Amino acid sequence: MSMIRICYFSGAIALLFSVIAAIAAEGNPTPAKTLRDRVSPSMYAVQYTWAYEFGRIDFVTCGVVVRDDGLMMIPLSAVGTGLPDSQLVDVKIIVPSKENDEVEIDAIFQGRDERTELAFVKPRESGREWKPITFEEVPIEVGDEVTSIGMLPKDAGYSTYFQRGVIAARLRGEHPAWLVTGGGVGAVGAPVFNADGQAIGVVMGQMPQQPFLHTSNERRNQSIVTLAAVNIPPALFTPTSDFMLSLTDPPTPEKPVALPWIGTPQLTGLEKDVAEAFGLQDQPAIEIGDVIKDSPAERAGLKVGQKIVKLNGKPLERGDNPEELPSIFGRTLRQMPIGTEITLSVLTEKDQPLTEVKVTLEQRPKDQRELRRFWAEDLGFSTRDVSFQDTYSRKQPANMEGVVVALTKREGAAAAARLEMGDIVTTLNGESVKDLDQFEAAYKALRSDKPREPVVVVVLKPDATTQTIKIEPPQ
Amino acid sequence: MPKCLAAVALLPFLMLGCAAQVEPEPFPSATPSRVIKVTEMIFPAVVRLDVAQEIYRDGKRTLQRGIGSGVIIDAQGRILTNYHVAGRAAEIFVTLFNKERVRASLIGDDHWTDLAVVQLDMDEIARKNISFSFAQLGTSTGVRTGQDVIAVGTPFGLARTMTLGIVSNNERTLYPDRVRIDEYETAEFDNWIQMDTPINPGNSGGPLVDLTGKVIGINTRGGAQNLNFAVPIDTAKPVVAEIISSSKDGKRGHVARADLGLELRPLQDLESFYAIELNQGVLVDSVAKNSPAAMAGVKTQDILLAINDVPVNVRFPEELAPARKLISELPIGKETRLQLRRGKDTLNVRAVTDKLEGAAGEEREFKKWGMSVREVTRQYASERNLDDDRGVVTTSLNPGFPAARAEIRGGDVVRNINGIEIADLDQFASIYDESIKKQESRVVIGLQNGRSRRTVVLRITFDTGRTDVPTTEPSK
Repeated sequence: MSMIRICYFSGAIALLFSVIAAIAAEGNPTPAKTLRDRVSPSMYAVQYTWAYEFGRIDFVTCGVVVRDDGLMMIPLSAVGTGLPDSQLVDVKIIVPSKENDEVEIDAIFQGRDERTELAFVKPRESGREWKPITFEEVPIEVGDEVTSIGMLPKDAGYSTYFQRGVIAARLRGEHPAWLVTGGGVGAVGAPVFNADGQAIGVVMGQMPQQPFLHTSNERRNQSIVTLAAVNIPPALFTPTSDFMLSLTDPPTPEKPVALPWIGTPQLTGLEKDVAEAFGLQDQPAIEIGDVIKDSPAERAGLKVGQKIVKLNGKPLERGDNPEELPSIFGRTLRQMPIGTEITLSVLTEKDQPLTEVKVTLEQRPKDQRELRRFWAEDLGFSTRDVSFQDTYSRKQPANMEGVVVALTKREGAAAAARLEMGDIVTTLNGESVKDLDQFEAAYKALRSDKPREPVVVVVLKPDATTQTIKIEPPQ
Repeated sequence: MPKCLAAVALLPFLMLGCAAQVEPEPFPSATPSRVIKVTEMIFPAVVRLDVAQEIYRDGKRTLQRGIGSGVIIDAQGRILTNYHVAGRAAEIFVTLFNKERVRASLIGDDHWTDLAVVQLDMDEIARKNISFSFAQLGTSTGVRTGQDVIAVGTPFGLARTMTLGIVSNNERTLYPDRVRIDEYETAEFDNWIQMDTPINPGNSGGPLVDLTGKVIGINTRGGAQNLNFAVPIDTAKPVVAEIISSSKDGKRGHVARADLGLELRPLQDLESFYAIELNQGVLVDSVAKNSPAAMAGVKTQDILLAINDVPVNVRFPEELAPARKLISELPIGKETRLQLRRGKDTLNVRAVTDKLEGAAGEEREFKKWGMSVREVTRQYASERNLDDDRGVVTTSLNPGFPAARAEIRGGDVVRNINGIEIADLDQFASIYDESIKKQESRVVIGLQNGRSRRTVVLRITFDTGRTDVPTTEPSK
């Protein structure tokens, strides 16, 4: 850290502490100090390493203890949905301390919960005493005062800090959120409390806030400004009711969250004019834009062009604009267990009575990040199995065989031959590619038998053309 | 005048003959006197073109003005230039070498070779008693790398600019890069003449001449550091002839080519992999969906050996354009015999050729709705992985107009209007016309984009006090 930044930073911290000190000097500990003292021991810095094909990068985010065995929730935005599970390693809980050196506790990544935008980590060893925060579902109203405890980045020693504001509005959308004005709320990950000191919500990722307190990626680290979240505090928090599901049923490595789907990935919220044209005035409705073959929706008889008007007999939940209807509908379904039978009331034709369609939720197809990768280091490309998304976007049969190029190394042999991310490799030296296991074995055999021979692959490009690519190995 | 030019054209040969008493040198060098002679020959045939091209932007047909070059090729006042200069011209003004300005019109165009033919307004020429001359077209077959060449044109609007250089390469291919003029495919059927003759924007369409004063190419593309490219004149000659012959009764002339839907790839260094002799066949890299080749059973990784018993051998990238050209010159809609090697087997299949279409179909504006749309061609459908080539595709939107307000986006394919399936642009236009005539204030449009379908409603207001309710442009 440069001298200028130190001056600026310590000055700001001094200011912060003098404010707190001034409040504290009036006599008994203030509610603010009490709260900070009570909550701080429940907050930790959580570090993980992204061990990807070309290197390793550490990321640190804010974790809050939610169970007495030390289970911690972290914002999903700090892990991302695209990062492959197999590349997320070396999870550590960092115990910040003003008096002593930092302590690192080995932890295990428990999994993501896309239903609630949270992820979880848990200490590897038991025996340590943890002070969980109990989140409560209590009524929240505009005008309520809220306080939150945020965590400052590594440069500030992961200090916790206090932030106070007033609830200004409720925003509807995929994830309902409360808008806080005045002082706003603490940095991403901060628990939020009402005047009675009850934990009523948490600050989730939101633009332009950083979910990270530190990263070893030099370029990225420059965007982590020590006091960014204090200077321009986040303004939204998510109420407990929206993530309680995760706390009562958090993912574990053995039992990851299985998300349901019905197989209608293209939904459009009806704008007012369209709704009127179909006689659906004042009824939020969603148009079905596609029905996946062999999906629950297809089996239930749902068709492209039909309008969903009710879910389980109730009108659809509105957002702040019709565009949000599909994501709100999606969130509602995501929070239901697999196997649930839902009833959709759909309009098949204008001015006809609604038809009731029963659909049973099934498990969503595997996401790309759940798939193992094979890193062909010598030629500089990484592959994985074909996911539903890959075949869907390319209009290929869902059971298509091949492997997808997940990554190519710049200046590597594969990149030089114009192999690109997203290419689906269908043959390797004339032999059909089935899946990753078969490809890995065939590739390894090929490379050890003929290390100097070129590797010829045929790929399916995203535009559905095929291309022959000859990769010259480094000689 | 043409006679006059013909006389001049003989001069260099006569001179050479007198001086050396030997065979005329095939590649005369750029001596000062010869450059001046060539200048005198070619100058009167080179023109500046001020063109307003028709483009569609913000849901409207608008004009985009530009300057280019051209060369007069006959006594009837026809001018050869680039497609990207005059191909979509709505109006053209020609400035002759004697600085006279004359109106001109587009006879026809061919984006595949980046060429267009323009007609001088001969009535105006006669009325104003203007004289002009035309250039002599040479041949590009014998063009040699290293020979001196001269380019003439209008760089940055500086008319009648002459530059000198050499042919840097006589069979340049840009493979595997694809060259396009906006959305229009180009340069697939021929290699380029590459030269170091300085070329700048505005030179396009001007002639590249050898030191006998004959046109050997049309200056078309420029790169940094004097890496410039001309369309060989031997490519241009048949294109010009077909554009002229196919242009009738005000209809623009075009070149009809055949298509099989094959993506070809040179076999260089892959021969041993496919266990094939050197210089034999060409690799089928991709077969377009629903194309003649696909329907005939041609598969990716086949080696195409012969077409109608004519061997097709593409070992090097430079041989690719001639192979594509061979296919393009097949009769359209006729059965073609393809000999293929698949693994160890040799097989013969029959494909019925299609007419070659580009990805960009005809485009029109629909003012009242505030959108411009294009015909969906088979090529476009194939590139975008659409289910079929029905409907029209939205190209641009006028903000604040009904289509933009209904959140139609560029790339949305209009599949139906008020429940009626749309087959093509003409049908779209007739439904639009009728809707405007009936003053429909609500129009329900069914759209498709990728795998998603959705419905939007256009809200149209009709101000009865106004009379400028537009209809579609007449088709050209």
